[in-house]
Amino acid sequence: MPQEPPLVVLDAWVVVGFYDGEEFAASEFGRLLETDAATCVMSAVNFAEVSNALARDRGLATASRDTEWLRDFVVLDPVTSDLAETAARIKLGFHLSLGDAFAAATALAYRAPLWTGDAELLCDRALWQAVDLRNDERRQLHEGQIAAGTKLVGRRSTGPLAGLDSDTLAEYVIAPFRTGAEAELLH
Amino acid sequence: MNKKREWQIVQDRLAAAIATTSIPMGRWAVDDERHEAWKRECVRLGLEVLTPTACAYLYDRSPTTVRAARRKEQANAVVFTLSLGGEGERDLHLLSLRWAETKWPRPKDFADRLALLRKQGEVIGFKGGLTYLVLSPTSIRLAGDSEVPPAMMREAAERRDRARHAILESRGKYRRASDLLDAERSEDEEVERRREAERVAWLEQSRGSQRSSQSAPSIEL
Repeated sequence: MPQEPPLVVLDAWVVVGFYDGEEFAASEFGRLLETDAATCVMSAVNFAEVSNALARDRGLATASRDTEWLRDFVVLDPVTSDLAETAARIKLGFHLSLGDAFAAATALAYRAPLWTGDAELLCDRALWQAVDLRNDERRQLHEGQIAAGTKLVGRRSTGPLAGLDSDTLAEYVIAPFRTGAEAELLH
Repeated sequence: MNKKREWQIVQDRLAAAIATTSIPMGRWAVDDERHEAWKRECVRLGLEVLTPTACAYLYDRSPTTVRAARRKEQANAVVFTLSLGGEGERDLHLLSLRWAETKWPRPKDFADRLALLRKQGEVIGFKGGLTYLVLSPTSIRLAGDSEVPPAMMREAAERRDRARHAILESRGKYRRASDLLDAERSEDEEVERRREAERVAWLEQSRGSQRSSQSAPSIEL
């Protein structure tokens, strides 16, 4: 096979963290930019989150210029019905925002690691592979919030998917891809 | 593994995928879905997908063109998806016109060109009205020489460098964006938790009232 370029799925958090100067996210994403070492993929939903956060912080004109540059470096993954269905199923099974669910679904679609600093996406026994880009300070903050019960992470204990074991949940979550064009490609 | 064998494996894998893909004719919404799944697989394989329209844009000097040219430059190979029939005819016509403008060996018409490529083993499959035309790296080099003017490739590379520097220079420019994103996502979860609590309360209430209305007749009896 030709050398496959390593793929990295970016959550909104990493890019926003980079622009924010968040220590670890900034150094890791910065390294990726400098070396051009991997193909970066981002869900269009997460791109919307980036655009929204930057515009709220610095205004429309600045944000739109910065996101325009970003478009040249990331492959924007559009929302298809397969992906939306998978995101919906992930959200049924885990404590995640809709943006998080799309980031996770995109990582599953590409079978690529998800770079994030979002505690919800870094939960134990996640179905997706996540790379933690938080600095120590933010990690401790999240751990404190989880311990205090103000931040819920991991599997949902209620809802229609609560009783499923991890393997069955994984099968259910990726089922939309199996019914789509990727059905055979997954094998 | 030698390059020829590597390329054969890619072709086999794509051909197998095409054979199992069902694309009804005239269902363009479905086609779009399949197309995105295809693009995803191609990105994963290190291939690049350009639609005929995108190929045509290679000749314009729009941002889309530059992005397409950059992608083309980076790709190990290019997969063209050609729609045959319906609206695809327009794109196909556009593409054949564009081909005709280039220094490619000019086909009498598109069918000749396609037949030639099939003979060369570069068209790897047809399915339900769509043709997937996979060009090997060798063809890309040949096509690249004539299809994308060097000036455009330079422009694309320069733009990429400018973008890289601009992004790096923006590091640390936003001071509250992470917090805003965190707050937005927590809010999303919080709203959902509140709605769920309301839904459960409503369900319990309606079950309660159902029970009391069901038990009413027995009281009367």
